[in-house]
Amino acid sequence: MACKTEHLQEHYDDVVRCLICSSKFCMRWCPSFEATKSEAVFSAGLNHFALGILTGLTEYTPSAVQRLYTCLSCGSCRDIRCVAEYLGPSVDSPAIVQAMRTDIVDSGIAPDVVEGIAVRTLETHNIFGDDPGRALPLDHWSALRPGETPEMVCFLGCVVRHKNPAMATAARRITQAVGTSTQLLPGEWCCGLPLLRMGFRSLAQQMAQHNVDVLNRSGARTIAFCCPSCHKAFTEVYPREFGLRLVPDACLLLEYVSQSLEGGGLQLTTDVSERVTIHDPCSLALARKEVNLQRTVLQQVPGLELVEMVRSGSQTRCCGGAIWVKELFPDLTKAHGQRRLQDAAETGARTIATACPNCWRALQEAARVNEANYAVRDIVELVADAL
Amino acid sequence: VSNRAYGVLRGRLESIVGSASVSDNDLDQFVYSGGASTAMPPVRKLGRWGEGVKPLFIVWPETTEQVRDLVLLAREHHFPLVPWGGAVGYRGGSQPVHSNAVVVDTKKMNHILDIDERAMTITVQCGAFVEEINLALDGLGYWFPMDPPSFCSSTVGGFVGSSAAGWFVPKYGYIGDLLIALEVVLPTGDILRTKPVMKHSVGPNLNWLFVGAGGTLGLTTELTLKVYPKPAACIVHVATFGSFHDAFEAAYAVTKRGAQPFVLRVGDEGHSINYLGPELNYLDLRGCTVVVGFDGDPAMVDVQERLALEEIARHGGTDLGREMGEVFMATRFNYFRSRKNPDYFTDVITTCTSFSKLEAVYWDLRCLYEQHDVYWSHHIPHFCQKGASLYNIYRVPATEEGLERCERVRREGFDIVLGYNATIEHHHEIGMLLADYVQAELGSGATVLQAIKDALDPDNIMNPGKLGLRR
Repeated sequence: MACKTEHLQEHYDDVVRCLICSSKFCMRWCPSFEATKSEAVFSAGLNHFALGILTGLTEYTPSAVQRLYTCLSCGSCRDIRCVAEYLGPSVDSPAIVQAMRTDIVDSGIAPDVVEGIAVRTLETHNIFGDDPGRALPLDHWSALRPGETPEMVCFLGCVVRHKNPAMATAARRITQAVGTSTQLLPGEWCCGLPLLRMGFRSLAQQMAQHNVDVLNRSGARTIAFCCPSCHKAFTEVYPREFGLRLVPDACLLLEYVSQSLEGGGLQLTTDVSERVTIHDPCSLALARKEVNLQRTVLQQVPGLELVEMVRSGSQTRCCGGAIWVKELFPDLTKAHGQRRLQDAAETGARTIATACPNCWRALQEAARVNEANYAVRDIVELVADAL
Repeated sequence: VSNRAYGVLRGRLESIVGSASVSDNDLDQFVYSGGASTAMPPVRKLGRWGEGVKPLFIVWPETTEQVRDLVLLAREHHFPLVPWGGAVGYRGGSQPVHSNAVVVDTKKMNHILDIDERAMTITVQCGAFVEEINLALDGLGYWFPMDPPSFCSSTVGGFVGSSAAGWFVPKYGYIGDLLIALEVVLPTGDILRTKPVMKHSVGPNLNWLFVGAGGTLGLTTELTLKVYPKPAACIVHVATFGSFHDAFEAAYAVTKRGAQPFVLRVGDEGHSINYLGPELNYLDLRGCTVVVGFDGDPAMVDVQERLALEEIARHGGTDLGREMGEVFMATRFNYFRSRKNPDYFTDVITTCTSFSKLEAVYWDLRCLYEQHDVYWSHHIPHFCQKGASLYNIYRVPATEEGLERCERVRREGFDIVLGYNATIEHHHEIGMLLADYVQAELGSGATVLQAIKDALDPDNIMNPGKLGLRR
């Protein structure tokens, strides 16, 4: 099947760098490999296929294209055990997969399910295709007087806006307790990162441009992101990919919470008496190597006992929450979730705390589908409980 | 294969392993044609994938019974089965050679079945990685001492098929030595289970029939392996010498005096510059080297360490100290630092010979490499009680000319090795790449091997075309 290769060609050197390693150090850490045991779905297999495309030895058939979407873009192959780091930076295999998907989308041969996610995101401005009118109402937050500019804008992201109002409530309670004038963003759209990961580069740019325009016009000094993926999109990906820059400072809401606790502006007095295990999101623990922030905050919650999973911190296991995997391969998503719940079960905790709304959604869903009795909470919610 | 037959076969495979464990996805077929795992990267870079062809299906069984049913189905429908473990043998042992082949990826057979602490054995399925085995043993105070660089991706079944070695063989032995018992699904569908005893005299030990057989005589499904208490003490020294001869003699003296190092390696000048130096991040390392280490009871470690240091000094060596040994243990898999230039690639002649011939083989191969301008590195990774392996790496440009030179060097190198009655391959698989040399290596043994294959596998369904056996 004729398909463009211009985006993939840019990654030729990295493809070869990956294949120089013949020992497959990263294989065991890939969640897709773990769930399927197929060598076609982890970085070396995918890069082998990529080289086959670049050398004309294979082609993008419909089944091969579909298989390319098993990659969760979690970065375990890149960030946990890529030995290419001895030769320079780790091989960014998720970026190579993204390049292949971009060529696929540009050639009009993406799977229908993936096209469907993109179309509905464009129409509804959220990744789930939920009715925008049923999103979290803006008056949920404290209203500002006309003409007043907030100190901080809270960027909720699709999951909090449409699926987890409890987190938004928690965020509001915390900012009120600290006394930071905070506003939600009228006209917040999906950050666009999932679209970019799926290969819809121009649509992602459209989403990014809209959000950056609105955020820059807000007049706020700081944008606090509820979701580390959204944060990464605006602070790392979009400046690099599209030259788009936020004027206000950007931080994670969790960083704001941590700083408020440290500075004494936020005081936690209510005992929560819970044994909690922590699930580190890939976007934080792998991409940003940030493992202390979430623990520092949780350790300040009175009465909370923190227990670690076997795969935690910089060796976290992906929750499997990528939306394209969920919709194309529901059994795979179920397996990813089940595996992570098994990790949690080994700790004896019944509450899983995470710092990513998308992980929250995936683990909630995993608990429901697997009929497992777990409470999944965002760390911000646990902090609000202790106010 | 007609569409109807294809559909029937798929249905039968699914009835054995379940639909989620059968794939004919184009991407899977391409990857399991073997190129990703077995051909050297520059060969891939040049777009040359060797002889691997796409399999019809890839299946992932989970139990011995499923493997048996696959074998029976293969006999009924006359298609070959290609066992696939970690597929890091570099010689094409897992590449299908027939377009109607079914690849049997064993990695779902990765369960730990039993740990007998008193007997100091572990029984595992064939698809377990060493890293998984050692994770299971860790909390109990034991370990499984196979430690090749592919510890995280080689399966124990694959170790048996390729007669693999780890870094610690001078004390702990090769996979065949670590093997107590095997369960093998034979190409007839019968299941062979050998006894979990350390020795018997009731005929030949059948375990050894499958060690190095490359999955051509049956598919190993379960293994009982020796495990050891985690050592209370462990020390390693790196020492430099003025010549390969002095380094070799020092290692030989340590061995001859009865010390039992868990690691004993000798390297030449090229090894210091191109491998060991970059591994240790000690780029000024020059000369020839000995790496020697002891583990176990602290008192025994202490005695043996003193003995080794005496021999290092007696042979004019300079000990770089325990600290360098610690760096060696921590960085021993950083050999990718030696592959900095993707415009070149390396191949290797991995031979094994007696102490009396080893230096002569070394110098003849080194002269050959220098003559072809491919000299890169020679070292002895496994210095054992009665002989040693010799790992001879050569480097050529990743071009068509380079590949041709590579094959010329390999051919002429094997002539040298065979002239000394040494082996053409010490611990990698034979697969397809070296299949043409098996006759020269085994002589009349090749006829015996084919006769065994014909007797056990009358339909030639088990990994045909490997090890120089009939396609």
